[in-house]
Amino acid sequence: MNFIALQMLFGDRGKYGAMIVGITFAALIMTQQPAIFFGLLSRTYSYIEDMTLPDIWVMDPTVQFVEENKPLRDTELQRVRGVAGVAWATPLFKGMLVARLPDGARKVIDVSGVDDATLIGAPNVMLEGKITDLRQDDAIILDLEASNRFATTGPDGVKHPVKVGDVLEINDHRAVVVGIAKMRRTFTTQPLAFTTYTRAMRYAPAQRRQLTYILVKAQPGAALDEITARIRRETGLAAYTAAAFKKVNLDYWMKNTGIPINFGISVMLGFLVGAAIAGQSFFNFVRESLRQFAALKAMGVRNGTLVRMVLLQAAVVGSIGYGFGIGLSALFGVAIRDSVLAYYMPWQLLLSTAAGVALIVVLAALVGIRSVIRLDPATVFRS
Amino acid sequence: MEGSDTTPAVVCRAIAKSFEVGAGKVVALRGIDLDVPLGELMMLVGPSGCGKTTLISIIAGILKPDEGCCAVLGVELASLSDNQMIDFRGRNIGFIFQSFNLLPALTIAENVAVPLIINGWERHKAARRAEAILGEMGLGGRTGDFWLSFPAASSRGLPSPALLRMSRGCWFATSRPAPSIMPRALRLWR
Repeated sequence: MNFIALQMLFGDRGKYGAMIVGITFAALIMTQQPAIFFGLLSRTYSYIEDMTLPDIWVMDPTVQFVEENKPLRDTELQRVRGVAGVAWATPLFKGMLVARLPDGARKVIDVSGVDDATLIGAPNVMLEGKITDLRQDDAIILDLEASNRFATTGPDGVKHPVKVGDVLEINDHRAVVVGIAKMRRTFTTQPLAFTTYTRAMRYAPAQRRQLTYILVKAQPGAALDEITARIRRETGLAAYTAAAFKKVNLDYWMKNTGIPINFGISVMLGFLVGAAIAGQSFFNFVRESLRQFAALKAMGVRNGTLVRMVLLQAAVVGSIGYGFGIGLSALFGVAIRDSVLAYYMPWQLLLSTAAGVALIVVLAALVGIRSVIRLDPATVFRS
Repeated sequence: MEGSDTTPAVVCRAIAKSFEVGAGKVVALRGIDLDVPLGELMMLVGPSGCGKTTLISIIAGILKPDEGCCAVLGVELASLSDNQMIDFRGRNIGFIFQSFNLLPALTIAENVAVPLIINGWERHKAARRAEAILGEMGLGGRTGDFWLSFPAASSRGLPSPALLRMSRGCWFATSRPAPSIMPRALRLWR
C-alpha cells in the first residue's frame, strides 16, 4: 500500500508541487530568520572566537561586552602571571581611536594592541603580509573590512581600498599598513586594526590605566574553572573562560537590545505563515484525495492502513520540502557570505526547523486522518 | 470465496433503511427480501432514488441496515466487526463504481492490481497478474498507460471489467456503471 500512497502523492504533480513549495517556503522562513538572528548574535562574540589561543580572559569586573574598554593597571598582568595554573598571560589593548586616512578623512577604528614579544592576539588569517611584519616601525594590520571601508577615491575617480604600504595617522601618530587580515565582523561593525601593545599605548590617549584585557593560557590538564576562580579570588578581577566570556557578550546584547524580541516576532510570524501554507497545502491534498481513500476503503483497506498511507505521504512531503527549504536557506547564506548581512545556521537550528516542519505536517496529517477515518465509503457510490 | 457451492451468494431478509434529511426522514428500503444463488447474474433496475444503491451498499457491507439481516456467501454481515467487514469486503466483493474511482496516478495495470495488493499480494506479482488479465481482454498493449490518458476513458471504462475479474470472490456489486462496460462485463462473465 506504500506504493499506492506514494503514487497518489507523486501522481498529481500540480498538487504535489504546491505542497512541496508550501513546505519549502515554511522551512525556508523558519530557517532564514533565525539564521540571521543567530548570525547577528554570533557577531557579539566573533572577536573572542577569532582569538583561538587564550583559554581565559581577565578584565575589569564591570565589563559587559568585549568592545567595552575599562582599563586595568599594568601591574595586574604580573599578578595574573603569578596565579597557580597559569601557563602564560599576555596583555591586550582594545579601544576605539580616530584614524586619519590618506585622503584626510577621519574614521573611528577599533585598535587592538597585542603582546610585543609573542604577538598573541594578532589575526589568524592574513590575506596580505605576515603577522611578524608588526615588528616593523609604525606597523599596523587592517582587517579586510577596514581596508574596504577606508577606500579613498583616486585621481582616476575610482575608489581604492587601503593597501599594504599606505600610511594612516592614528591620534596624530604615523601608522603604516603592513598587512591585510581576514577577521569576522563584530556586532558593532567597527573596522579593526592590530598593532603591538607598546605602539597601541602610543596611539591611545594617555591615561593612568591602559591595559584592557589579560589573555591567559592554562597549564596543560589544568581545570579552567578552577583557574578562573583562583584569578578572581587572588586579583579581584573578572576572569572568564573564552566560552563564558562569549556568553557574557551574548547576554548583554540579548538583554539590552530589542533584537531578540524583533527577531522572535519574525520567527513566530514565519512559523505561523509557514504552518498555514504547508498545513493548508497538505490538508487540501488529503481532502481532495478523500474520494480515492473512500474507494480504497470500500475495496477493503482498513482505517489503520489508510492512516499509515497518509502519514507516509506527510513524511515524504515534509522531508522533501524540509530538504529544499534548508537547502535554499543555506544557498542564501552562501550568497550573502562576507557581506554586511549576518547569517549562521547551527545544527540546532536545522533540528528545530525539522521539528517545526514535522509539527506542521503531522498536524495537517492528523486533520486529514480524521477525515479519512470518518470517511463513509458509501460516498464512492455517489456520482 | 467464503461459502461452499451450495451456499447462496446473497440472502437478505426484511431489510429496511432510511436516511435523515433535514428534519425529516427518507425511507430508502422497506422490508426487502432478496435471494441470489451463486453463479447467477442479477441486475437491479429501477428509477433514480428507488434504493438500488442503498441495497447494494448494504449487501457490500458499506451501509448497515436499520432492520433486517443480510448474509453474503453464508456469512451474516451483522456478526462481523468493522475490521472483519472490511477484510471480508476486500476478499470477496468486487466493484465497478458509478464513476469508476480509479486512481489517476496509477497505470491501468496498477489500478487493476489494487484489489490484489489490498489482499496482501506482492506488488510485482499482482501487476503481472493484472497484465495477464488485461491481455486476455485485448488490452495487453495498454497496461502501462495511465487511466486518464486512455482515449475517452471516462465514458468507455475499458479496464473496469478487468477490475471485476481481479476480485477473487464469486460476485460483485455495482451501481449504474457506464453502459459501455456491461457488454464487456457480460462477456467476461461468460
